Amino acid sequence: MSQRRTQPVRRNSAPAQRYPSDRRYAPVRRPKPSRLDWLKRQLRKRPLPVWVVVTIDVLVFAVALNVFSLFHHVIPRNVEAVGISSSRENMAAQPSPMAQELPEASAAPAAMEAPAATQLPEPTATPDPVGYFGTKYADKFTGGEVNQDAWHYQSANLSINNSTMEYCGTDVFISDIYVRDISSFATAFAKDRYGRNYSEEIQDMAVRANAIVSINGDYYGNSDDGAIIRNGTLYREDSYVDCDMCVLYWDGTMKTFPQGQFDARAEMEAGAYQSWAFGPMLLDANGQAMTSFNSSVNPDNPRTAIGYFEPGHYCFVVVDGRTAKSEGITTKELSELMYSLGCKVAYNLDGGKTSQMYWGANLVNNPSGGGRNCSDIVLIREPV
Amino acid sequence: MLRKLLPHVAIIISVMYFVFYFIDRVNSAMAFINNDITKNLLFALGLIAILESVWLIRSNRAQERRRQQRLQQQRMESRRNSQGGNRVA
Repeated sequence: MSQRRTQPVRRNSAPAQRYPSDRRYAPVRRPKPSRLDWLKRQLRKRPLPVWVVVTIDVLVFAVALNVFSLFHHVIPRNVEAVGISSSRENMAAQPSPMAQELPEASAAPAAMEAPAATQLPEPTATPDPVGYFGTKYADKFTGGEVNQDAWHYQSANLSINNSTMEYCGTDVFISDIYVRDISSFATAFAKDRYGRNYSEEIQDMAVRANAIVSINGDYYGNSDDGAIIRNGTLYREDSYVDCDMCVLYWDGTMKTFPQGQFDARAEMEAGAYQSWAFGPMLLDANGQAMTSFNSSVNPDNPRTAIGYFEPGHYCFVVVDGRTAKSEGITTKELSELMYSLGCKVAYNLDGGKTSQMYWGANLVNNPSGGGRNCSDIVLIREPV
Repeated sequence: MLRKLLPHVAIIISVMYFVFYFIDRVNSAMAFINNDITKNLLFALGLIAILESVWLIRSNRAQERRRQQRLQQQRMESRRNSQGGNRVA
């Protein structure tokens, strides 16, 4: 009889394998169980305590929110622009949007006078080019020299007077602006790129764009809502705009649109030069202060607004807030302020910590929390 | 494994939506709800809800079927017992 030799039985060893050559049994080494296998076995035996499950869920929730924030408003990404451009040459061939509005405005109080109102824009002998206001405000500009100090700037193309006042216990900074040519009223993107989540210090943008005075824009890069027209180019069009819109045309007129009444392509054809999508609009169609607004951020806050008096004459308004000295103002108070300044059209831009005004490279106001980066600015500069 | 994880994923996405809902009311300009990411999340939540519902319905039906079978079995056993008892009697 043949005698079989067997290996001693070990714990956790696999069934022995028989080798035909020497007829010996050799143990096959089973791979060491991993920690994951151990965990799975444990979980199969006994589920995790409730508090551990809840803690894991909360942690995963926190991580998920952070990942969302990262993709939603941190990581910059390029967005393809629509790329349609408007030009002042095209606008010269058609009446200005504000002139088109005139008959409608006069029709309500006296319908009989409407035909007479349509005869208002009579051609002059030598009309100024569209967006040129040198003749209209000739006394505001110099012959060529530049007079500049800490609060004023006067040149052949610009006249800017800054002032400060206290309103509702809050510091308000106002920049009263006359431009010879509409191209002096410009906008700039952070890092000179159009896209989502791009942001930069307003000071850096202002210096790069040679701005005399600049304020924050509508922070377009944090939202997909609203059309974006900048310096005559349509970058983004939105089929349904949730916010009020503001448009500056090549002829220097400015108009605000209530929610849902804005058509980007139609306004481009009408000669839109700049647009902002934030709001709300601060004055109604008749230039009167409003009491209700298309905004949920109506309490006291630092604010930035843009005002229009007439073509070529505008104002930037920045209001401090959330500080010991200034608590900020409500949307209603801002509306009344813009009305009291004499604006015909006024529009609220991004506020809070974003509210900042720069005079050249110098910060004018006292932004809440030291201010923050923004994705775009509105600026006044010498014509390029 | 998936069946264990999905309810937690559904809870997490739902709570994220609660957060988006409240912060969107505070600052709607940031478009916390009306953006591509949350739209995809909503799609995922819908998908998970359907899967969970299908599993739950199937599980409920199986449970009901088992209960019916158990009842039927009990009835048969009691009938058999009662018949056997009669014989003995």
